[in-house]
Amino acid sequence: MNPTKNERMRCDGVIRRDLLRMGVLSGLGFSLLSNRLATKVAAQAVPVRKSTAKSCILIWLDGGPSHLDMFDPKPRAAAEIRGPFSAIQTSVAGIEISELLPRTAELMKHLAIVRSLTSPLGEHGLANHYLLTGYQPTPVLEYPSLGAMAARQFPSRGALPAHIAIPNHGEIGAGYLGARFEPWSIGGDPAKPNFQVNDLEAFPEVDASRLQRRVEFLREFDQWQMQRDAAQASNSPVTRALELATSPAAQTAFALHEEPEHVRRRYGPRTFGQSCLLARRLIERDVRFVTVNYSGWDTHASLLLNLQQGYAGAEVGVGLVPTFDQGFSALIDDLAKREMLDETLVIVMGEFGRTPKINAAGGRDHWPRVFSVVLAGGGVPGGQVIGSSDSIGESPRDQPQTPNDLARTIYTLLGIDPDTELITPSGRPVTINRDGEIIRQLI
Amino acid sequence: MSFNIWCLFLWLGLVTPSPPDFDTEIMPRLTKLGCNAGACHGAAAGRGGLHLSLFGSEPNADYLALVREFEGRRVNLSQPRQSLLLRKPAGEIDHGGGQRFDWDDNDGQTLLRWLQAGAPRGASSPLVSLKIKPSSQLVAAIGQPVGLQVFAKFENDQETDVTDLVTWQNVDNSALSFNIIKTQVISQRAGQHFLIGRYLNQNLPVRITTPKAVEQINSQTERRNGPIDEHVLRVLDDLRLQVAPPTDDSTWFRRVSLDLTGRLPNSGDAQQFADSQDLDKRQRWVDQLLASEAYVEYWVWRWSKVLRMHSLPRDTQGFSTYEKWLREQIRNDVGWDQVARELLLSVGDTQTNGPANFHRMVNDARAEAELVTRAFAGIRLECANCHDHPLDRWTQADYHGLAAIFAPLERGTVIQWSPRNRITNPRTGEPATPKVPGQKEVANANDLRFVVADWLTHEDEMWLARATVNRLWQALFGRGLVNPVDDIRTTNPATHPELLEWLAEDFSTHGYRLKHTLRQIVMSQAYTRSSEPQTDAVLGAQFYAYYPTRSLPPEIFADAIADFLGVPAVELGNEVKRAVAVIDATQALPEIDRIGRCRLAATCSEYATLESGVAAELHLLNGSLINRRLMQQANQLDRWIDAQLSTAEFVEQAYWRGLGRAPRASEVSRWQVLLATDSPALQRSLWEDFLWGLINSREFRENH
Repeated sequence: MNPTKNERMRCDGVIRRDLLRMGVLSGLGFSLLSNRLATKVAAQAVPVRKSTAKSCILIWLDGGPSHLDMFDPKPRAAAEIRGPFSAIQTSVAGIEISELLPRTAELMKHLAIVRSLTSPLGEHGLANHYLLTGYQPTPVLEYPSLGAMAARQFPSRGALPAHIAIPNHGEIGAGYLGARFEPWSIGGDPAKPNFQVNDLEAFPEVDASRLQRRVEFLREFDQWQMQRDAAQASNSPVTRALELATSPAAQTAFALHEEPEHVRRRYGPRTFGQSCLLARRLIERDVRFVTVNYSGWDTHASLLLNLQQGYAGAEVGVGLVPTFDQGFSALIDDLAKREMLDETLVIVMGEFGRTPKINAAGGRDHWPRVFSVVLAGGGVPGGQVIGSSDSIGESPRDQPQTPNDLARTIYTLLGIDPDTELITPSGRPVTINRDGEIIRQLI
Repeated sequence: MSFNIWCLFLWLGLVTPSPPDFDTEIMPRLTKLGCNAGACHGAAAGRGGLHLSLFGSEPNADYLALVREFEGRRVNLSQPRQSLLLRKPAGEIDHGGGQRFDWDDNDGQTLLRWLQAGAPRGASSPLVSLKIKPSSQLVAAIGQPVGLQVFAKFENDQETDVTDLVTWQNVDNSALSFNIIKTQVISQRAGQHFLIGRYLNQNLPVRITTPKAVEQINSQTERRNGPIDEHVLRVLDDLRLQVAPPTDDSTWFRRVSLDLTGRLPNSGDAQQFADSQDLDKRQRWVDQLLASEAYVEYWVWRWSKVLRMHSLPRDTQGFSTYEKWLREQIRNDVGWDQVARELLLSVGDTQTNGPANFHRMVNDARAEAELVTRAFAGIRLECANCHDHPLDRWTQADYHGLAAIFAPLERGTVIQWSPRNRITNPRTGEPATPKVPGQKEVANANDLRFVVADWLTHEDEMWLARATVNRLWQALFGRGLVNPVDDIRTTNPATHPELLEWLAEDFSTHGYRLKHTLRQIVMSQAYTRSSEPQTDAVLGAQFYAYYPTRSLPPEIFADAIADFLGVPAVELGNEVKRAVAVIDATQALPEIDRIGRCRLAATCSEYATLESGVAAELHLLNGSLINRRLMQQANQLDRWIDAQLSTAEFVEQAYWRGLGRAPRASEVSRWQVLLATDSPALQRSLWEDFLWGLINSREFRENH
């Protein structure tokens, strides 16, 4: 029996070496279905791709953004499919996107559009789970989100936590990884002049010197217990919070007013744009994963009003897509100019697309059979479109990719070995990603 | 005798006269080789065009799939050696699952012999029981191998050595290593560790106990108070773990008060208890706690989480009727068998009949089947919704059969039984036949809920008793004897199986009374030990060599802060002032929700502890939960300041009130230095900061 490639793999793609390694690391176990193979290959290393991405910004368009009115327009289809908007050329010859995205179109050389995502799940909760974890939901186990997994694999390096959500992270959190890896939802609206993060600011009359004193007093109390049982020693949780609340780096991370006025304006005056700006500031301060949660994309009625205008009769559109266009393009441009784009993976996605045919209310309904996601930076080759949908944006035409494939690709881009096996608190072995296939053109 | 004839004899001796049996020999080998695992051909959709049942639960279908499907393309009976069934897993032709066996090993040879015999189905007798020898072994030291043998007993009374056919699962491979060739398990680490053996539809654990230390401990001199201590000390003896000394009166007093009533004891009681010379004072205090209203409030709150209680939109009346009913059951210490029975069998108007609301906490019959088994039997039946439970004996027929019993319930404001309502078993596509898990189907159109109630309390099964005492143990020690408490199964064995059985037995013979078992446990020496780790902190906590410290649940912590500062924990504009009194999961309590209180009844774990996320931590530091109460008018701090206490008096009173003990002299003198000031304004802020430190200290936040 010679050591072939097949020998190392189970049919779910798990490399046995990883099983062994995780068995040791987690201090827990896993099933040994055929463990004689396990020992034979233990010494053989399979290199994990060297990733350039050090951090990730996930722009989550909650509710399901319309692929047809953003990144997969069908200008030559019938009006009921085409919708109210036309398509424009991007800076890369042959690639067209919606006219609502003029600024994004100029930056096409940085972007990779995947137009052939496909999923069977057309309900928000289920689809959220699938896109954000790579696993279809089951009642048995709550899987962790991409961000929670990134936080687990790459702990925080400074006072700021490894995973921060602006303003919150919705319903998919750390799942079986447990509370320690829940993202920190900062709350608050970065576009407001009096923007504040929940509980980051001191309580009235309790200034920093008192906080220091309080924690000093706390240490007095804990000292006795620490001496007694060193094995159980754990910092009182508030010490991490104190570090955060009193760390100048953490405080300045949220001080958007420090940004030059022209930069703030470039990102746009609304919540989404300022959230993108805040995301950049957090990434600069070594936060590993930032989720920018932009909700309102469940556009069952009037595309014109919701996607473009924002309010009836608006002369300059301030709807969802122009707002997105401004904030997103500012972010990509800014990251590129600061030479941070190569080490920052930016992902734009929602839980599904919208129906090809406009409905009676002038909107589009849920459509998971085909939809688009956009990736930029983090080593992703830009200026390309991967896969395509059919002539009316109803089904994938070529290269169908599942959210599972996407998750595997994202983990790989972030330098996380997707075949690593983890053990849930109930002792169940789960691989970070199961059965997904890497979308090669993105790597 | 010529060499040829000798060979013939050898050949006759090696090859059994009858070909291998499909169900009892071929299928287990396929399981052992991983072919029908969930990630391979056992997946619901199969793999590479071949679908097998998960871990071989359906031999009929699997036989058809392997031998008959696609005109039998997977087997080649004229040239058995060329069968796809062999060549793929042998790695001769491309196989997504890679090479699974070598030609010359037993698995390959048996498959070949079976194909040579014409791939017969065989006529095996059903498996009755499985036995692993030894099932539990205390080894002398790390590295000592233990050989295992497995025997199967079939319905025709035949007992066979099936060691070679067993699939082994190593629960923790950093603790045990397993040599599959020799069927030997070797301990790698001190502690109690398990290996699971599976043959056909049965799983059995093998327990390997490896001592921590070389020297014997002298447990004979340890005080013991009844069977609980006998069981706990026996395991500590085996593991040679040093036992912590009994804790002092003050610590015990705070511990037992928090555990039985969810409240800090008041400082007057604490001081009196410490000073009392009464030899029976612990017994008396336990009786007093168990008879208190605080006990009722706290245990209603605990059980409301198990029962997933929450109000429904536009129906607060039903919920409050339910809550009142549960309160009465707990106040009167009604036998838990009766409580469970009444919840299960209830019908009628939910506005007036409290227990009938039980059926409205879930949306449908399947969810009720899951709730009933989880709450009353401590088992997770969910897996069996979509496939037979891979780690337990529950089948899809069990799951849908139990759901079928609840299907006739109409869950409106009035709970009615309507025999027309049915549910479908997705495997058969037919209406599911009612059955109690693990028992025969009941072809019967009557209301069968009483059969479920009987099953839960049947003396051979003891489901309800075992699940309930396990939850009580968890409430007092922070973890169940089986952990998690809602996952009781043979493949998740108890740390102290004999103790669990004894507690269940004792509980049932004492009328399923919660107070009886709570008293038994808190009066044991195991419960009374100091929380100071001895030989090994991890093993010691797991096996009760010392009392395992744990953080207070969010609601209890919030109530403790409020009691300590002499202000309400919640202000809802009604008479409810304590967080534990808010048992409706739909009621928001923003400050307490921020530190980890769980509000979605369906997803709440029964054992939530203080949240450790950043947002929660920041809230303790900068949020209102503590800060607002520290500064609130007429709080305890105001009273202390008004009383013009000296620093030493203030420190002493705060220690008694918050920590239930007197400060040591060294602590008093230290605080006299740290809190010294001449300015009355500064004094208040220093005292506030001192109280803040006390509240956040581990000694306050934890039960120890």
